Amino acid sequence: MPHCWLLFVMKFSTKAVALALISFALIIPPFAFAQDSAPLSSVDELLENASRALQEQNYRGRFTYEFGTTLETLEIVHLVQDGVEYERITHLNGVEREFLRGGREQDCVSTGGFLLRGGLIPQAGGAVSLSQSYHFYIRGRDRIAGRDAEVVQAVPKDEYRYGMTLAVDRVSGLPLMSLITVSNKGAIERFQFTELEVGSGIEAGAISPTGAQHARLDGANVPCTKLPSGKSIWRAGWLPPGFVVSHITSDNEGDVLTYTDGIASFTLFIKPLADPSAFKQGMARRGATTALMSVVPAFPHSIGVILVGEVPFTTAQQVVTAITTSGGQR
Amino acid sequence: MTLNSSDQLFESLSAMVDNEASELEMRRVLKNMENNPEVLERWRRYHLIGSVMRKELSGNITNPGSLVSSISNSLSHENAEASVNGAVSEATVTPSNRALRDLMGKTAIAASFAATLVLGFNYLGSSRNGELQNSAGAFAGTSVPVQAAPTSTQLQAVAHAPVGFELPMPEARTVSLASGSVPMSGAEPRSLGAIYMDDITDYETQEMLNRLLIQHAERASAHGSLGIMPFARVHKMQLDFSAK
Repeated sequence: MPHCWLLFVMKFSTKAVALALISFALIIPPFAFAQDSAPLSSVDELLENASRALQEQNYRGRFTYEFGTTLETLEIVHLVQDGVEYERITHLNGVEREFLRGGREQDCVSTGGFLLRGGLIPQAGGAVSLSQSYHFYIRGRDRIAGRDAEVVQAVPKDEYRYGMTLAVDRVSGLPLMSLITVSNKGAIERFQFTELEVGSGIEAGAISPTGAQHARLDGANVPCTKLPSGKSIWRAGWLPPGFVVSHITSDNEGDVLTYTDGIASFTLFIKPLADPSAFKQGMARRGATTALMSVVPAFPHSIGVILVGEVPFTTAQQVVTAITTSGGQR
Repeated sequence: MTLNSSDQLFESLSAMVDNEASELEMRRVLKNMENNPEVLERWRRYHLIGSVMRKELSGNITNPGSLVSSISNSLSHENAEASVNGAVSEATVTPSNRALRDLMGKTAIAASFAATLVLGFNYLGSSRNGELQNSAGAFAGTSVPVQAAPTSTQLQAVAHAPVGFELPMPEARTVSLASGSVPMSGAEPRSLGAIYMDDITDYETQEMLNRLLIQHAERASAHGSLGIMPFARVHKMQLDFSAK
Protein backbone atom coordinates (compact mmCIF):
# COMPACT_ATOMS: atom_id res chain seq x y z
CA MET A 1 0.00 0.00 0.00
CA PRO A 2 1.44 3.32 -0.98
CA HIS A 3 0.90 5.07 2.32
CA CYS A 4 3.20 2.67 4.14
CA TRP A 5 6.04 4.32 2.28
CA LEU A 6 5.32 7.85 3.36
CA LEU A 7 7.90 9.67 5.42
CA PHE A 8 7.17 12.91 7.09
CA VAL A 9 10.35 14.90 7.24
CA MET A 10 9.56 18.15 9.01
CA LYS A 11 12.79 20.01 8.73
CA PHE A 12 13.90 18.67 5.40
CA SER A 13 14.21 22.05 3.81
CA THR A 14 15.75 23.85 6.78
CA LYS A 15 19.36 23.16 5.92
CA ALA A 16 18.88 24.18 2.34
CA VAL A 17 17.43 27.56 3.26
CA ALA A 18 19.53 28.26 6.33
CA LEU A 19 22.44 29.58 4.31
CA ALA A 20 20.18 31.84 2.30
CA LEU A 21 18.54 33.13 5.49
CA ILE A 22 21.89 33.94 7.06
CA SER A 23 23.24 35.76 4.07
CA PHE A 24 20.10 37.85 3.84
CA ALA A 25 20.09 38.78 7.50
CA LEU A 26 21.91 42.02 6.86
CA ILE A 27 19.46 43.20 4.24
CA ILE A 28 16.78 45.18 6.00
CA PRO A 29 13.58 45.07 4.03
CA PRO A 30 12.22 48.57 3.60
CA PHE A 31 8.94 47.71 5.22
CA ALA A 32 10.32 46.21 8.42
CA PHE A 33 9.01 47.97 11.50
CA ALA A 34 11.98 49.47 13.26
CA GLN A 35 10.54 49.12 16.74
CA ASP A 36 9.59 45.47 16.43
CA SER A 37 12.48 43.35 17.55
CA ALA A 38 10.70 40.01 17.77
CA PRO A 39 12.55 37.45 15.67
CA LEU A 40 11.17 36.53 12.29
CA SER A 41 9.81 33.04 11.91
CA SER A 42 11.68 30.48 9.97
CA VAL A 43 10.42 29.55 6.55
CA ASP A 44 9.31 26.14 7.76
CA GLU A 45 7.25 27.66 10.55
CA LEU A 46 5.61 30.17 8.25
CA LEU A 47 4.62 27.63 5.64
CA GLU A 48 3.45 25.06 8.14
CA ASN A 49 1.42 27.67 10.03
CA ALA A 50 -0.17 28.93 6.84
CA SER A 51 -1.12 25.47 5.68
CA ARG A 52 -2.55 24.54 9.09
CA ALA A 53 -4.35 27.83 9.64
CA LEU A 54 -6.26 27.49 6.36
CA GLN A 55 -7.72 24.20 7.56
CA GLU A 56 -7.97 24.68 11.29
CA GLN A 57 -9.02 28.28 11.87
CA ASN A 58 -12.43 29.91 11.74
CA TYR A 59 -12.18 32.97 9.52
CA ARG A 60 -14.21 35.29 7.40
CA GLY A 61 -12.85 37.97 5.14
CA ARG A 62 -12.88 39.83 1.90
CA PHE A 63 -10.07 39.90 -0.60
CA THR A 64 -9.17 41.16 -4.02
CA TYR A 65 -8.03 39.01 -6.91
CA GLU A 66 -6.17 40.80 -9.67
CA PHE A 67 -4.52 40.02 -12.94
CA GLY A 68 -3.72 42.40 -15.79
CA THR A 69 -6.23 45.18 -15.40
CA THR A 70 -8.92 42.93 -13.95
CA LEU A 71 -9.79 43.33 -10.30
CA GLU A 72 -12.29 41.05 -8.66
CA THR A 73 -13.54 41.16 -5.10
CA LEU A 74 -14.47 38.05 -3.15
CA GLU A 75 -15.68 36.93 0.21
CA ILE A 76 -14.50 33.80 1.96
CA VAL A 77 -15.77 32.05 5.07
CA HIS A 78 -14.27 29.00 6.74
CA LEU A 79 -15.64 27.28 9.83
CA VAL A 80 -14.67 24.13 11.65
CA GLN A 81 -17.44 22.29 13.48
CA ASP A 82 -16.67 19.05 15.31
CA GLY A 83 -13.41 18.70 13.43
CA VAL A 84 -15.07 19.11 10.03
CA GLU A 85 -14.45 22.01 7.66
CA TYR A 86 -17.18 24.08 6.04
CA GLU A 87 -16.37 26.91 3.65
CA ARG A 88 -17.80 29.29 1.12
CA ILE A 89 -16.17 31.51 -1.51
CA THR A 90 -18.30 34.15 -3.24
CA HIS A 91 -17.52 36.59 -6.03
CA LEU A 92 -18.86 39.98 -5.03
CA ASN A 93 -18.65 41.65 -8.43
CA GLY A 94 -19.46 40.70 -11.98
CA VAL A 95 -21.12 37.40 -12.83
CA GLU A 96 -22.49 35.65 -9.75
CA ARG A 97 -20.23 32.82 -8.72
CA GLU A 98 -20.26 30.95 -5.45
CA PHE A 99 -18.80 27.65 -4.30
CA LEU A 100 -19.50 25.91 -1.02
CA ARG A 101 -17.70 22.91 0.35
CA GLY A 102 -18.34 20.99 3.51
CA GLY A 103 -17.51 17.69 5.09
CA ARG A 104 -13.75 17.54 4.95
CA GLU A 105 -11.91 16.48 8.09
CA GLN A 106 -9.69 19.28 9.32
CA ASP A 107 -6.73 16.96 9.79
CA CYS A 108 -7.01 15.59 6.29
CA VAL A 109 -3.96 17.10 4.67
CA SER A 110 -3.89 17.25 0.89
CA THR A 111 -0.90 16.31 -1.25
CA GLY A 112 -0.12 19.98 -1.85
CA GLY A 113 -0.55 20.86 1.81
CA PHE A 114 1.74 18.02 2.75
CA LEU A 115 4.45 19.23 0.38
CA LEU A 116 4.07 22.81 1.58
CA ARG A 117 4.63 21.65 5.17
CA GLY A 118 7.92 20.10 4.14
CA GLY A 119 6.72 16.56 3.60
CA LEU A 120 8.55 14.08 1.41
CA ILE A 121 6.73 11.92 -1.10
CA PRO A 122 8.57 8.90 -2.51
CA GLN A 123 8.25 8.40 -6.22
CA ALA A 124 9.79 5.98 -8.67
CA GLY A 125 12.37 8.51 -9.75
CA GLY A 126 13.25 9.61 -6.24
CA ALA A 127 11.55 11.42 -3.41
CA VAL A 128 9.80 14.69 -4.08
CA SER A 129 9.79 17.69 -1.78
CA LEU A 130 9.17 21.40 -1.90
CA SER A 131 12.88 22.18 -1.71
CA GLN A 132 13.39 20.72 -5.18
CA SER A 133 11.16 23.38 -6.61
CA TYR A 134 11.79 26.66 -4.80
CA HIS A 135 14.32 28.65 -2.82
CA PHE A 136 12.67 30.43 0.09
CA TYR A 137 13.58 33.81 1.48
CA ILE A 138 12.06 35.67 4.39
CA ARG A 139 11.46 39.17 3.10
CA GLY A 140 10.54 40.88 6.34
CA ARG A 141 7.30 42.35 7.58
CA ASP A 142 4.32 44.09 6.07
CA ARG A 143 0.91 45.30 7.10
CA ILE A 144 -2.12 43.91 5.25
CA ALA A 145 -5.82 44.22 6.09
CA GLY A 146 -4.74 46.08 9.21
CA ARG A 147 -2.72 43.09 10.41
CA ASP A 148 0.99 42.49 10.89
CA ALA A 149 2.32 40.00 8.42
CA GLU A 150 5.56 38.24 7.65
CA VAL A 151 6.52 37.91 4.04
CA VAL A 152 8.17 34.89 2.46
CA GLN A 153 9.20 34.63 -1.14
CA ALA A 154 9.39 31.36 -3.06
CA VAL A 155 11.84 31.73 -5.95
CA PRO A 156 11.48 28.97 -8.53
CA LYS A 157 14.56 26.88 -9.09
CA ASP A 158 13.88 26.56 -12.79
CA GLU A 159 11.88 28.04 -15.63
CA TYR A 160 9.20 25.41 -15.33
CA ARG A 161 7.13 27.22 -12.76
CA TYR A 162 6.21 30.65 -11.46
CA GLY A 163 7.38 32.15 -8.21
CA MET A 164 5.20 33.08 -5.27
CA THR A 165 5.37 35.67 -2.55
CA LEU A 166 3.22 35.02 0.49
CA ALA A 167 2.40 37.35 3.38
CA VAL A 168 1.31 35.44 6.49
CA ASP A 169 -0.65 36.91 9.40
CA ARG A 170 1.54 36.81 12.50
CA VAL A 171 -1.39 36.22 14.81
CA SER A 172 -3.45 33.58 13.02
CA GLY A 173 -0.95 32.24 10.48
CA LEU A 174 -3.41 32.78 7.64
CA PRO A 175 -2.07 33.93 4.28
CA LEU A 176 -3.08 37.57 3.81
CA MET A 177 -1.54 38.13 0.42
CA SER A 178 -0.20 35.96 -2.33
CA LEU A 179 1.52 36.99 -5.53
CA ILE A 180 2.30 34.71 -8.44
CA THR A 181 5.48 36.10 -9.90
CA VAL A 182 7.44 35.79 -13.10
CA SER A 183 10.47 37.68 -11.84
CA ASN A 184 11.50 39.81 -8.91
CA LYS A 185 9.60 42.72 -10.27
CA GLY A 186 6.77 41.13 -12.18
CA ALA A 187 3.64 39.48 -10.86
CA ILE A 188 0.85 38.03 -12.95
CA GLU A 189 -1.69 37.50 -10.22
CA ARG A 190 -2.40 38.83 -6.74
CA PHE A 191 -4.72 37.81 -3.94
CA GLN A 192 -4.87 40.25 -1.04
CA PHE A 193 -7.20 40.46 1.92
CA THR A 194 -8.76 43.82 2.66
CA GLU A 195 -10.52 42.69 5.84
CA LEU A 196 -10.28 39.55 7.91
CA GLU A 197 -11.99 38.31 11.03
CA VAL A 198 -10.57 35.27 12.81
CA GLY A 199 -11.91 33.25 15.69
CA SER A 200 -15.05 32.05 17.35
CA GLY A 201 -17.24 35.06 16.66
CA ILE A 202 -18.22 33.90 13.19
CA GLU A 203 -21.79 32.66 13.10
CA ALA A 204 -22.68 29.32 11.51
CA GLY A 205 -25.03 30.97 9.03
CA ALA A 206 -22.10 32.64 7.32
CA ILE A 207 -21.37 29.50 5.33
CA SER A 208 -24.83 29.44 3.79
CA PRO A 209 -25.14 30.34 0.13
CA THR A 210 -25.84 33.99 -0.55
CA GLY A 211 -27.46 33.63 -3.94
CA ALA A 212 -29.13 31.28 -6.35
CA GLN A 213 -26.01 30.84 -8.48
CA HIS A 214 -23.94 28.50 -6.38
CA ALA A 215 -22.38 25.06 -6.54
CA ARG A 216 -21.91 22.65 -3.67
CA LEU A 217 -18.90 20.42 -3.41
CA ASP A 218 -18.62 17.39 -1.20
CA GLY A 219 -15.57 17.73 1.01
CA ALA A 220 -16.13 14.34 2.61
CA ASN A 221 -15.16 12.65 -0.63
CA VAL A 222 -11.79 14.35 -0.81
CA PRO A 223 -9.22 11.64 -0.22
CA CYS A 224 -6.55 12.09 2.42
CA THR A 225 -3.91 9.82 0.98
CA LYS A 226 -0.95 11.64 -0.47
CA LEU A 227 -0.84 9.49 -3.58
CA PRO A 228 -3.89 9.07 -5.76
CA SER A 229 -5.96 5.96 -5.47
CA GLY A 230 -7.42 6.27 -8.95
CA LYS A 231 -5.76 4.81 -11.99
CA SER A 232 -5.31 5.79 -15.58
CA ILE A 233 -3.62 4.19 -18.55
CA TRP A 234 -2.07 7.59 -19.17
CA ARG A 235 0.63 9.32 -17.23
CA ALA A 236 2.96 12.27 -17.62
CA GLY A 237 6.16 10.92 -19.16
CA TRP A 238 7.92 14.07 -18.09
CA LEU A 239 7.24 16.37 -15.17
CA PRO A 240 9.16 19.37 -13.91
CA PRO A 241 11.16 18.36 -10.81
CA GLY A 242 9.12 18.53 -7.65
CA PHE A 243 5.73 17.77 -9.20
CA VAL A 244 3.72 14.71 -8.23
CA VAL A 245 0.41 13.39 -9.40
CA SER A 246 -2.13 14.09 -6.68
CA HIS A 247 -5.47 12.89 -8.05
CA ILE A 248 -6.60 10.64 -10.87
CA THR A 249 -10.12 10.02 -12.10
CA SER A 250 -11.16 7.96 -15.05
CA ASP A 251 -14.57 7.49 -16.59
CA ASN A 252 -16.12 6.94 -19.97
CA GLU A 253 -15.51 10.57 -20.93
CA GLY A 254 -11.81 10.38 -20.34
CA ASP A 255 -9.11 10.62 -17.72
CA VAL A 256 -8.32 13.57 -15.52
CA LEU A 257 -4.99 13.78 -13.72
CA THR A 258 -3.94 16.57 -11.37
CA TYR A 259 -0.38 17.41 -10.40
CA THR A 260 1.10 19.70 -7.78
CA ASP A 261 4.49 20.76 -6.47
CA GLY A 262 3.08 22.11 -3.23
CA ILE A 263 2.49 25.59 -4.59
CA ALA A 264 1.50 25.28 -8.25
CA SER A 265 -1.03 22.85 -9.72
CA PHE A 266 -2.10 21.74 -13.16
CA THR A 267 -4.65 19.30 -14.50
CA LEU A 268 -4.54 17.11 -17.61
CA PHE A 269 -7.82 16.23 -19.29
CA ILE A 270 -7.25 13.32 -21.67
CA LYS A 271 -9.68 11.66 -23.99
CA PRO A 272 -9.34 9.32 -26.95
CA LEU A 273 -10.37 10.93 -30.22
CA ALA A 274 -12.45 9.25 -32.86
CA ASP A 275 -11.93 12.25 -35.13
CA PRO A 276 -8.77 14.22 -34.31
CA SER A 277 -9.58 16.89 -36.88
CA ALA A 278 -12.65 17.91 -34.91
CA PHE A 279 -10.60 18.68 -31.80
CA LYS A 280 -9.87 22.37 -31.44
CA GLN A 281 -6.24 22.99 -30.68
CA GLY A 282 -4.93 26.15 -29.20
CA MET A 283 -3.72 28.00 -26.21
CA ALA A 284 -5.36 30.53 -23.96
CA ARG A 285 -4.43 32.37 -20.85
CA ARG A 286 -6.23 34.04 -17.97
CA GLY A 287 -4.16 35.54 -15.16
CA ALA A 288 -1.69 32.91 -14.04
CA THR A 289 -3.71 30.11 -15.62
CA THR A 290 -2.60 28.57 -18.88
CA ALA A 291 -4.87 26.36 -20.96
CA LEU A 292 -3.30 24.29 -23.72
CA MET A 293 -5.42 22.16 -26.05
CA SER A 294 -3.60 19.70 -28.22
CA VAL A 295 -3.95 16.52 -30.23
CA VAL A 296 -1.27 14.03 -29.22
CA PRO A 297 -0.55 11.10 -31.53
CA ALA A 298 -1.03 7.78 -29.81
CA PHE A 299 -1.85 4.18 -30.59
CA PRO A 300 -4.48 3.04 -31.46
CA HIS A 301 -6.21 6.43 -31.26
CA SER A 302 -4.82 9.91 -31.02
CA ILE A 303 -5.78 11.61 -27.82
CA GLY A 304 -7.12 15.06 -27.18
CA VAL A 305 -5.25 16.61 -24.27
CA ILE A 306 -6.07 19.80 -22.45
CA LEU A 307 -3.78 21.10 -19.74
CA VAL A 308 -5.15 23.74 -17.39
CA GLY A 309 -2.97 25.13 -14.63
CA GLU A 310 -0.79 27.81 -13.14
CA VAL A 311 2.38 26.99 -15.00
CA PRO A 312 4.18 28.72 -17.88
CA PHE A 313 3.12 27.84 -21.38
CA THR A 314 6.41 26.12 -22.18
CA THR A 315 5.96 23.79 -19.22
CA ALA A 316 2.45 22.96 -20.40
CA GLN A 317 3.78 22.21 -23.84
CA GLN A 318 6.55 19.95 -22.59
CA VAL A 319 4.23 18.01 -20.32
CA VAL A 320 1.63 17.49 -23.03
CA THR A 321 4.05 16.29 -25.68
CA ALA A 322 5.54 13.79 -23.23
CA ILE A 323 2.30 12.13 -22.21
CA THR A 324 2.70 8.39 -22.35
CA THR A 325 0.91 5.26 -21.28
CA SER A 326 1.65 3.56 -18.02
CA GLY A 327 3.22 0.86 -20.12
CA GLY A 328 5.72 3.35 -21.43
CA GLN A 329 4.75 3.54 -25.06
CA ARG A 330 2.23 5.78 -26.80
CA MET B 1 -6.74 43.41 -56.30
CA THR B 2 -4.46 46.25 -55.67
CA LEU B 3 -3.93 47.37 -52.11
CA ASN B 4 -4.46 50.99 -51.47
CA SER B 5 -2.55 52.61 -48.67
CA SER B 6 -5.49 52.18 -46.30
CA ASP B 7 -5.63 48.45 -46.90
CA GLN B 8 -1.90 48.27 -46.41
CA LEU B 9 -2.30 50.01 -43.09
CA PHE B 10 -4.95 47.56 -41.97
CA GLU B 11 -2.71 44.68 -43.02
CA SER B 12 0.09 46.14 -40.98
CA LEU B 13 -2.27 46.66 -38.06
CA SER B 14 -3.29 43.03 -38.30
CA ALA B 15 0.34 42.01 -38.37
CA MET B 16 1.00 44.18 -35.33
CA VAL B 17 -1.68 42.41 -33.37
CA ASP B 18 -0.05 39.13 -34.34
CA ASN B 19 3.34 40.52 -33.38
CA GLU B 20 4.54 39.92 -36.91
CA ALA B 21 5.01 43.52 -37.93
CA SER B 22 8.41 44.95 -38.64
CA GLU B 23 9.45 48.03 -36.75
CA LEU B 24 8.96 50.11 -39.85
CA GLU B 25 5.40 48.87 -40.19
CA MET B 26 4.72 49.58 -36.53
CA ARG B 27 5.98 53.12 -36.77
CA ARG B 28 3.89 53.70 -39.87
CA VAL B 29 0.72 52.36 -38.24
CA LEU B 30 1.25 54.35 -35.07
CA LYS B 31 1.93 57.52 -37.00
CA ASN B 32 -1.27 57.01 -38.95
CA MET B 33 -3.27 56.12 -35.92
CA GLU B 34 -2.77 59.55 -34.53
CA ASN B 35 -4.29 61.13 -37.64
CA ASN B 36 -6.59 58.43 -38.92
CA PRO B 37 -9.62 57.70 -36.78
CA GLU B 38 -10.47 54.63 -38.81
CA VAL B 39 -7.21 52.93 -37.93
CA LEU B 40 -7.67 53.88 -34.31
CA GLU B 41 -11.20 52.56 -34.36
CA ARG B 42 -10.11 49.22 -35.78
CA TRP B 43 -7.38 48.90 -33.16
CA ARG B 44 -9.95 49.59 -30.48
CA ARG B 45 -12.25 46.99 -31.94
CA TYR B 46 -9.63 44.27 -31.86
CA HIS B 47 -9.46 44.68 -28.11
CA LEU B 48 -13.06 45.49 -27.41
CA ILE B 49 -14.39 42.37 -29.12
CA GLY B 50 -12.91 40.27 -26.39
CA SER B 51 -14.21 42.52 -23.64
CA VAL B 52 -17.73 42.53 -25.02
CA MET B 53 -17.69 38.74 -25.05
CA ARG B 54 -17.16 38.92 -21.33
CA LYS B 55 -19.73 41.68 -20.92
CA GLU B 56 -17.30 44.03 -19.32
CA LEU B 57 -15.34 46.94 -20.61
CA SER B 58 -11.63 46.82 -20.91
CA GLY B 59 -10.49 49.66 -18.74
CA ASN B 60 -7.34 50.58 -20.54
CA ILE B 61 -8.95 51.06 -23.95
CA THR B 62 -11.27 53.90 -23.03
CA ASN B 63 -8.64 56.36 -24.15
CA PRO B 64 -7.07 54.85 -27.26
CA GLY B 65 -5.15 58.01 -27.93
CA SER B 66 -3.07 57.64 -24.81
CA LEU B 67 -2.42 54.00 -25.59
CA VAL B 68 -1.00 55.03 -28.93
CA SER B 69 1.34 57.59 -27.44
CA SER B 70 2.49 55.20 -24.77
CA ILE B 71 3.33 52.65 -27.44
CA SER B 72 5.25 55.32 -29.34
CA ASN B 73 7.11 56.11 -26.16
CA SER B 74 7.96 52.45 -25.68
CA LEU B 75 9.41 52.26 -29.14
CA SER B 76 11.68 55.19 -28.50
CA HIS B 77 13.09 53.81 -25.25
CA GLU B 78 15.23 51.28 -27.01
CA ASN B 79 17.33 49.70 -24.35
CA ALA B 80 15.56 50.80 -21.21
CA GLU B 81 13.82 47.49 -20.70
CA ALA B 82 16.61 45.22 -21.86
CA SER B 83 18.99 46.33 -19.14
CA VAL B 84 16.57 46.03 -16.23
CA ASN B 85 17.01 42.35 -15.66
CA GLY B 86 19.38 41.36 -18.37
CA ALA B 87 17.06 38.83 -19.98
CA VAL B 88 19.32 36.83 -22.19
CA SER B 89 16.76 34.51 -23.59
CA GLU B 90 15.44 36.87 -26.22
CA ALA B 91 18.55 37.74 -28.14
CA THR B 92 16.88 37.82 -31.51
CA VAL B 93 14.08 40.14 -30.43
CA THR B 94 14.83 43.83 -30.58
CA PRO B 95 14.16 45.71 -27.34
CA SER B 96 11.56 47.91 -28.98
CA ASN B 97 9.64 44.91 -30.28
CA ARG B 98 9.69 43.37 -26.87
CA ALA B 99 8.55 46.53 -25.11
CA LEU B 100 5.69 46.78 -27.53
CA ARG B 101 4.84 43.15 -27.11
CA ASP B 102 4.87 43.55 -23.33
CA LEU B 103 2.48 46.45 -23.60
CA MET B 104 0.28 44.52 -25.96
CA GLY B 105 0.68 41.53 -23.75
CA LYS B 106 -0.77 43.44 -20.83
CA THR B 107 -3.65 44.57 -23.02
CA ALA B 108 -4.20 40.99 -24.09
CA ILE B 109 -4.20 39.81 -20.52
CA ALA B 110 -6.95 42.29 -19.84
CA ALA B 111 -8.91 41.06 -22.83
CA SER B 112 -11.09 38.00 -22.69
CA PHE B 113 -9.96 34.47 -22.15
CA ALA B 114 -11.28 33.55 -25.56
CA ALA B 115 -9.51 36.38 -27.30
CA THR B 116 -6.07 34.87 -26.83
CA LEU B 117 -7.05 31.48 -28.14
CA VAL B 118 -4.71 30.19 -30.81
CA LEU B 119 -6.01 27.77 -33.35
CA GLY B 120 -4.01 25.23 -35.17
CA PHE B 121 -0.51 26.06 -34.04
CA ASN B 122 2.23 23.55 -34.53
CA TYR B 123 4.42 23.10 -31.52
CA LEU B 124 7.08 21.00 -33.10
CA GLY B 125 9.36 23.97 -32.90
CA SER B 126 8.13 26.11 -35.75
CA SER B 127 7.67 29.78 -35.13
CA ARG B 128 7.52 32.81 -37.30
CA ASN B 129 10.48 34.61 -35.94
CA GLY B 130 12.56 31.87 -34.47
CA GLU B 131 11.74 32.84 -30.94
CA LEU B 132 10.41 29.48 -29.88
CA GLN B 133 13.75 27.83 -30.57
CA ASN B 134 15.36 30.55 -28.55
CA SER B 135 13.00 30.13 -25.64
CA ALA B 136 13.29 26.37 -25.79
CA GLY B 137 17.02 26.76 -25.64
CA ALA B 138 16.71 29.28 -22.88
CA PHE B 139 14.82 27.02 -20.60
CA ALA B 140 16.66 23.86 -21.38
CA GLY B 141 19.31 24.85 -18.93
CA THR B 142 20.29 28.45 -18.91
CA SER B 143 19.25 29.05 -15.36
CA VAL B 144 21.79 31.51 -14.11
CA PRO B 145 23.98 30.47 -11.24
CA VAL B 146 24.37 33.40 -8.91
CA GLN B 147 26.26 34.04 -5.73
CA ALA B 148 24.24 34.77 -2.64
CA ALA B 149 25.00 38.16 -1.12
CA PRO B 150 28.53 37.74 0.24
CA THR B 151 27.91 39.05 3.73
CA SER B 152 29.27 36.24 5.81
CA THR B 153 32.34 34.12 6.09
CA GLN B 154 30.25 31.03 5.78
CA LEU B 155 30.35 29.18 2.57
CA GLN B 156 28.50 30.83 -0.25
CA ALA B 157 25.23 29.29 -1.23
CA VAL B 158 25.34 29.13 -4.98
CA ALA B 159 21.74 29.41 -5.92
CA HIS B 160 20.38 28.62 -9.32
CA ALA B 161 17.52 30.83 -10.35
CA PRO B 162 15.81 31.46 -13.64
CA VAL B 163 16.40 34.67 -15.55
CA GLY B 164 14.64 37.56 -13.83
CA PHE B 165 14.98 36.17 -10.33
CA GLU B 166 18.70 36.85 -9.93
CA LEU B 167 20.06 37.69 -6.49
CA PRO B 168 20.42 40.09 -4.76
CA MET B 169 16.77 40.77 -5.17
CA PRO B 170 14.98 44.06 -5.18
CA GLU B 171 11.89 44.27 -3.04
CA ALA B 172 9.27 41.80 -4.17
CA ARG B 173 6.56 43.87 -2.57
CA THR B 174 6.92 46.65 -5.11
CA VAL B 175 5.79 44.31 -7.83
CA SER B 176 3.35 45.92 -10.13
CA LEU B 177 0.89 43.91 -12.14
CA ALA B 178 0.77 46.51 -14.87
CA SER B 179 4.52 46.89 -15.12
CA GLY B 180 5.56 46.94 -18.72
CA SER B 181 9.17 46.13 -18.06
CA VAL B 182 8.96 42.44 -17.46
CA PRO B 183 9.26 39.82 -20.15
CA MET B 184 7.75 36.51 -19.17
CA SER B 185 10.31 33.84 -18.63
CA GLY B 186 8.37 31.32 -20.67
CA ALA B 187 7.41 31.82 -24.28
CA GLU B 188 4.47 34.15 -24.55
CA PRO B 189 1.46 33.25 -26.71
CA ARG B 190 2.51 35.65 -29.39
CA SER B 191 5.97 34.27 -29.72
CA LEU B 192 4.51 31.19 -31.35
CA GLY B 193 2.87 33.27 -34.01
CA ALA B 194 -0.24 33.38 -31.88
CA ILE B 195 -3.17 35.29 -33.20
CA TYR B 196 -6.22 36.68 -31.59
CA MET B 197 -8.90 34.15 -32.05
CA ASP B 198 -10.48 34.62 -35.49
CA ASP B 199 -13.55 32.80 -34.45
CA ILE B 200 -14.33 34.90 -31.41
CA THR B 201 -17.88 33.76 -31.57
CA ASP B 202 -16.79 30.21 -30.73
CA TYR B 203 -19.03 30.02 -27.72
CA GLU B 204 -18.61 26.26 -27.50
CA THR B 205 -14.87 26.38 -26.94
CA GLN B 206 -15.25 29.19 -24.45
CA GLU B 207 -17.82 27.23 -22.48
CA MET B 208 -15.68 24.11 -22.60
CA LEU B 209 -12.65 25.95 -21.28
CA ASN B 210 -14.71 27.53 -18.54
CA ARG B 211 -15.95 24.12 -17.47
CA LEU B 212 -12.40 22.79 -17.34
CA LEU B 213 -11.26 25.85 -15.43
CA ILE B 214 -13.84 25.06 -12.76
CA GLN B 215 -12.81 21.41 -12.64
CA HIS B 216 -9.18 22.41 -12.27
CA ALA B 217 -10.06 24.91 -9.53
CA GLU B 218 -11.96 22.21 -7.71
CA ARG B 219 -9.03 19.81 -7.86
CA ALA B 220 -6.46 22.47 -7.03
CA SER B 221 -8.49 23.44 -3.97
CA ALA B 222 -8.92 19.84 -2.86
CA HIS B 223 -5.35 18.64 -3.47
CA GLY B 224 -3.36 21.86 -3.40
CA SER B 225 -2.15 23.91 -0.49
CA LEU B 226 -4.05 27.19 -0.56
CA GLY B 227 -7.49 26.11 0.53
CA ILE B 228 -10.51 27.15 -1.50
CA MET B 229 -8.74 30.16 -3.06
CA PRO B 230 -8.38 28.63 -6.56
CA PHE B 231 -12.11 29.20 -7.07
CA ALA B 232 -11.38 32.91 -7.25
CA ARG B 233 -10.06 32.21 -10.75
CA VAL B 234 -13.40 30.96 -12.06
CA HIS B 235 -14.67 33.16 -14.83
CA LYS B 236 -18.35 32.28 -14.73
CA MET B 237 -20.61 29.65 -13.28
CA GLN B 238 -21.36 26.45 -15.06
CA LEU B 239 -24.88 25.54 -14.12
CA ASP B 240 -24.45 21.85 -14.76
CA PHE B 241 -21.20 21.60 -12.86
CA SER B 242 -20.75 18.47 -10.82
CA ALA B 243 -17.56 17.66 -9.03
CA LYS B 244 -15.71 14.51 -10.04
